[in-house]
Amino acid sequence: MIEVLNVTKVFNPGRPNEMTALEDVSFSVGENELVILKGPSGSGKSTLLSLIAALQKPTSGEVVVEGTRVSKLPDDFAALFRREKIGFIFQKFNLIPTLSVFDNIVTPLIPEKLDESELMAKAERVMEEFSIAHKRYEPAKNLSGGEQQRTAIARALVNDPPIILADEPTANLDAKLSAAFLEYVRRIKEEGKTIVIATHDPLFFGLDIADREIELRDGKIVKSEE
Amino acid sequence: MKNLFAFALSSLTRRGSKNFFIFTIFTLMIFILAAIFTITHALKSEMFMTLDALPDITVQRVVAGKQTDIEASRSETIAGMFGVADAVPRVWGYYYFAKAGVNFSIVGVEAFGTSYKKSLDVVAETYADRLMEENTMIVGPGVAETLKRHFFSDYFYFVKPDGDLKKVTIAGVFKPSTVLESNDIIVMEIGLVRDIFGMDDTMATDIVVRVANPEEIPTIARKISEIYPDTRVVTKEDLKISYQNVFDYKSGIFLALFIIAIFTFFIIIYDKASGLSSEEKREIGILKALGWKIGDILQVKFFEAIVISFGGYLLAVTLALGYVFGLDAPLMRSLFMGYSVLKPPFELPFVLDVGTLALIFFATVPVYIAATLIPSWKAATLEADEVIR
Repeated sequence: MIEVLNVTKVFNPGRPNEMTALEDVSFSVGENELVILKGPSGSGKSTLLSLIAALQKPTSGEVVVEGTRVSKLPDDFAALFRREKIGFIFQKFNLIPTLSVFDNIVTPLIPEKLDESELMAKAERVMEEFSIAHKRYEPAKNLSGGEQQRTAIARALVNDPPIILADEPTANLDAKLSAAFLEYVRRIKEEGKTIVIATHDPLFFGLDIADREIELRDGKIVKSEE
Repeated sequence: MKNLFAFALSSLTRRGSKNFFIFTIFTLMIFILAAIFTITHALKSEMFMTLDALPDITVQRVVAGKQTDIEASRSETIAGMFGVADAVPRVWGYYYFAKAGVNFSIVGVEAFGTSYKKSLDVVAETYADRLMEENTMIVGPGVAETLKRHFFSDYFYFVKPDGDLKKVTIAGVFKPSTVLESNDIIVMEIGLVRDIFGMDDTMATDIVVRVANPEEIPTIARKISEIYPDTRVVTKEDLKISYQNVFDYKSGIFLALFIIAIFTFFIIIYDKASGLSSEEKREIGILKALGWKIGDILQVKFFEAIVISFGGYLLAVTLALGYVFGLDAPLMRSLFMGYSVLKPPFELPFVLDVGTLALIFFATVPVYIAATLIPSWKAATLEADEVIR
């Protein structure tokens, strides 16, 4: 499903502030697998997720998702790929603070030619699923951490993508909300999604539903455990 | 497309106060420009219509640098000059109506006679029988309205130079061919005008000359000056230049307003073009990360810019037209009209300057759209990851 092949990512190449974020990284993720990318801050986890989501291009190597070489996609095709294949849960959720919960959730659907009823139906489904429907008109900036989390998950799933990428999803949450997130992950996996979570939260280590844990350090894979 | 437009509208309302401020300034600026140009155009076209109706040459007698009455008999000498079609002595003057604080123009005509102006001939002919009655006058609608406001619906008492009163009956109200020219005019039989102004029967206010070939106007004007050295001979062209100078001077007053409006506009443009706020950049990054193409983002920004700029333009032009032609341009008109505020009120004629309105459109709306799209495009072409981190 996802193949990362000898990927190297260098920021600011040739400049005094050149920094190698990833170096010759290779791994693959099968369909409906849950993979945990772990490692300390600055180990390259987030960069790796960005490369899989085609938010950036690798300096060398390739990322192939469902047979598509996403690392070679032109900008607009990369956007289409994200819209159809990827649900991204960002570290700080990256909700648009002045938009309501409903509007945040339907944002990935706006460029599609959906009529209002289709749009509403898709949004209703995920809002109900993640118990956020009662806050639909509330601006995101007024939400609690847990509500922001559920809105971000609902937004990632609204277009029913096969792959979910989560970048430090519990970094800003307390223990209770982190545990709740774990439950959501369990549910998403049961729906048949492929999930990659980048985290340094021990809550995710040795998880019964995880298929693999890959440990990164200084941009290199130091350990990969089934 | 519909969803993108709805998103653009919601985006505008989310940054409501900022966008409202820009919309207001943008609208106000175009309103000022459109109002100035519309008034200018309306008055200019009115003025040139009036000027076109002016005589080719006007001969005035000047004593000690001041205009004074001229012997009507001189018109016969002038009429006999080669190239002159006719020369007509005019008897006219201003009458100050103190109660209303306005000046009326009183013009003398002869019923069934030929005057210097076609429009006056029409009035004289139309109302000939009434003008032939003793002590009657035909008035322009502005005069009629002003007199009526002061309870002179049927007649008016003129004060003669010797202090006597002269009762003159309003025998009719004529329709003006152009409002500036005749709104304040009172037409009377020529002898009655002389009586009211205390003029001698042999005298006239000035003599107007019609020349068969316009090319010969300067030559004939020079010859008249040579025959009558105590006269000032003014050609239609001289008058046009003089009017134009006064008008351009008045327009200069608005240059300041114009500059302020343009300056404000460019501050807005500079602010828009100099880049997006970090919040706006981040939002674009989020949209890209969620699968929006650069084109989708630019479409939303285009709709936002169109709503503000084209909406502002439409509103401003509508307000300007309403202000100028509906409300008669309070404040601005009096600045342009200068001394004419002493004249009876009149409505500005509806003349739409499509060319100038189009020029304002092309100088503002596309500029604003470009100033919105360029920084958005710059942000949208960055890697989304770079923007949202």
